[in-house]
Amino acid sequence: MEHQNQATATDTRLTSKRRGTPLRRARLGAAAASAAAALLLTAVAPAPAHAVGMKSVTGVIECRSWPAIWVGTSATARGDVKFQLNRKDNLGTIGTVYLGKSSTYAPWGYKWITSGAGNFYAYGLTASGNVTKAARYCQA
Amino acid sequence: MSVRTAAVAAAALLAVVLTGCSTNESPSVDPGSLFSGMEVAEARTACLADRGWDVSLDAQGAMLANYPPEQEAAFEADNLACLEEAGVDPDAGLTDEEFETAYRWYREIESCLRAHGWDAPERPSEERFRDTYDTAPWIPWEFVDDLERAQADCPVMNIPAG
Repeated sequence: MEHQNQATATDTRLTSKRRGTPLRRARLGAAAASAAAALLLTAVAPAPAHAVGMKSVTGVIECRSWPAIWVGTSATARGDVKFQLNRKDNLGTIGTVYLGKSSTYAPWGYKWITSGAGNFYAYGLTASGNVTKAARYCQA
Repeated sequence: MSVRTAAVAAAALLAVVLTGCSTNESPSVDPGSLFSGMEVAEARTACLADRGWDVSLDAQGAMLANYPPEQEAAFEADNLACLEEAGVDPDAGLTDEEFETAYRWYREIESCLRAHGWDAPERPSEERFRDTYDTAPWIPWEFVDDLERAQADCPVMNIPAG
C-alpha cells in the first residue's frame, strides 16, 4: 500500500541565520536568497525555525510501521540538491542528504528506512537552485 | 552460390542495412555533463570531512551529513566552499551546450513518457525552452504523479550515477 503527498514550491525566501567569514557570508547569503524549498508537513507538525519563510504546501500523511518502513522522497530540482527528513512530530532529523548538483531541473529521489517520518524538505541550493515539486510516499 | 552461402550473404547484407539504419538515428543523449558526478561528490565529502564535519558518501554518490540544527548555516558555508574547491562554480548559469543537451534529454524523456501512456506538457521550440527556462520551465515529467513508476518505464529519466 502506498500513500503519497506532493508539494509545489514557488517561494524563494529563507531566513537562516548566517555565520562565517565575510566572503562565506556573502556566498551563503546569495545561496540562501536564491534557494527554494518544498516542504511537506504531517498533520499538526509545526515547521522548524530554520524553515520560516519557505513556501510550503501541506499534506496529511502517516508513515508509521513497526519495525520500519521505506519512505520515498522525490523532487524536481536544480542546483545543489539537498533532502532532509524529520522524525515523526519533527522530534529531530532522520537524515540530511546532498544528492548532487545539476545545472538543469532533474527528477531526484531518495529512500529512507524509518519507523516514523515527519516533515520532508527539498532544497535547491546555490544561485541557480530551485525546486518546483516535491513528494513523499510510504511503502509498506 | 550454394544455399548456405546465399543465406550467409543475405544475413551479412541485412546486418549492414541494419547498422546503416542505426547510425542514421539520433544517438541517445548523455545528460552526464549536466550533473556534478561522483568525482565531485568524493572531493566534496573529503573536503568537508577535513573541516571536521560528520559526512559519508553512499555508493550512488549521495552525501549523508550529520550536524546539529544550530550548525546548519556553518555547514552550508563550508559545503559551498567545498563545492568550489571540488571545481564546481555554484553560481554558473547554463551554457549554450548545456541548454542543447538538456533540451535533447527532455525531448527523449517526453517521447518515452508518451509512449508509455503518461501525459506530458506540450513541447516548446528549443528557443522558447531557453527563453522560459527560468520563469516557466518546460519539464516533461511535470504531470507525472509517481516518479518511481515513470522512471521504471523510462530509465532515460534516471540521473546518471557517477
